[in-house]
Amino acid sequence: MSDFSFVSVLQTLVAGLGITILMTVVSFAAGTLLGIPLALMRTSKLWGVRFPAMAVIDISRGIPPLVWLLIIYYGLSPALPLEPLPAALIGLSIISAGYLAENFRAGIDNVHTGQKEAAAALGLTPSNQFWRIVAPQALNISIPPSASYAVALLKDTAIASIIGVADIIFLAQNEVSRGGSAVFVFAVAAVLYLLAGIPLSYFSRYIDGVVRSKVVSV
Amino acid sequence: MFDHWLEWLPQLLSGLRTSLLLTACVAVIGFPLGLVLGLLSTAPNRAVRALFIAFIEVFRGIPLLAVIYLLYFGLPAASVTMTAFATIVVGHSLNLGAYSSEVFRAGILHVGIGQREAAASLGITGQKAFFHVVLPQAMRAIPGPLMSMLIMVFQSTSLAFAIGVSEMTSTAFSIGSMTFEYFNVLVLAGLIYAVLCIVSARIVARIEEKLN
Repeated sequence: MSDFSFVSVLQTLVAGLGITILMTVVSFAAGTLLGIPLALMRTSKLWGVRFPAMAVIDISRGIPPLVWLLIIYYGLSPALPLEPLPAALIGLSIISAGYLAENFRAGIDNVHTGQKEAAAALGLTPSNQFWRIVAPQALNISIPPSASYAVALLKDTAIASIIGVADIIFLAQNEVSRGGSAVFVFAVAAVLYLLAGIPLSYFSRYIDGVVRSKVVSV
Repeated sequence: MFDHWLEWLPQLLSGLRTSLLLTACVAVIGFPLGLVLGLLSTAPNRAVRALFIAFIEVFRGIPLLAVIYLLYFGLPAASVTMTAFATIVVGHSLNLGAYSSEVFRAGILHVGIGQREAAASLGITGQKAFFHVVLPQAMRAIPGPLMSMLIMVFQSTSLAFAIGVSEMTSTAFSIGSMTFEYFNVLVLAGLIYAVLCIVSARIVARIEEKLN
């Protein structure tokens, strides 16, 4: 006899919560590492540097997340057979890189022109103008939208269940196919996502307040 | 790699038609729902406000895929059966309603108290002030964000793959499973999505510039 009590379902799904959080954290970190150089290239004055970055950013965001995962998991399998989890991590990292690069770019663009002019007037070298004056403020400006992106990413990881990653949704589907009530099991899954999202949303609101009080923006 | 693309294109475009139809249905149901939710979440009555804010937060906090599975596999137990197509429309509309309500709400709050006071001093109060003074002004701040949301809806109709609606992603996948050319056909479908999204995002940006 299968046991579908609240505690038993919760125990099963919590095992997937770890995978969900792992996917969110890893792809957000990888997205940041890839997104910063993309944003720097995207704001370059040289067309030859700016254009490829723009193309990469647009394509990473223009292809739906599910299609990315299907391309990587099924499409690449003859050349590069991957397990579901690494395939999902690669796909979600590519997508995060595009979205985060846009946040960083908007941060750079939104640093008040007066700040750049003041730095130039003080005789700072162009490289110092960027790294000491513009970049720190740009980073501050891009933190709130990036924090809300983290919340969106947490929910987007659910699509990894479609290629077989054993996250919350995948385990919930398993419980349902073993005979659990779908409404009940998916409601428990929904509660887990809400609980996982609360600290992120709280942080994102908090940081928004902090940044608003600190940054001179356009 | 490209030799099959022309051969697959007609099937993919017919899948695309379904994706666009889904998007249109979601817009027709989701935006009015968002407006209603946005109004109710700014209601003067505290209990009403709290109830609808909670509703919005729940749908914004749950992955869309979970909502879709809940509707598709859960509702039959309550003797409500919907086709996969209808499930996608309802699931996405709830999601879009919750997200767009924030835009409507921000648009309404954006119209300052001064405007309401000016209306009141002219003897325009209550519903009349709301429908003739506040709402028309609120409507100016919101088309941009709503159009961007609709582009996201179009992308996420690809989730219909999970319950077997034959929109573009499902069509591409089934061509892949027949020909074993998953990479080729999925990349083609991905590029069609990307081109449509990039072009419409540019148009939206242009319109937003004009409105401001």
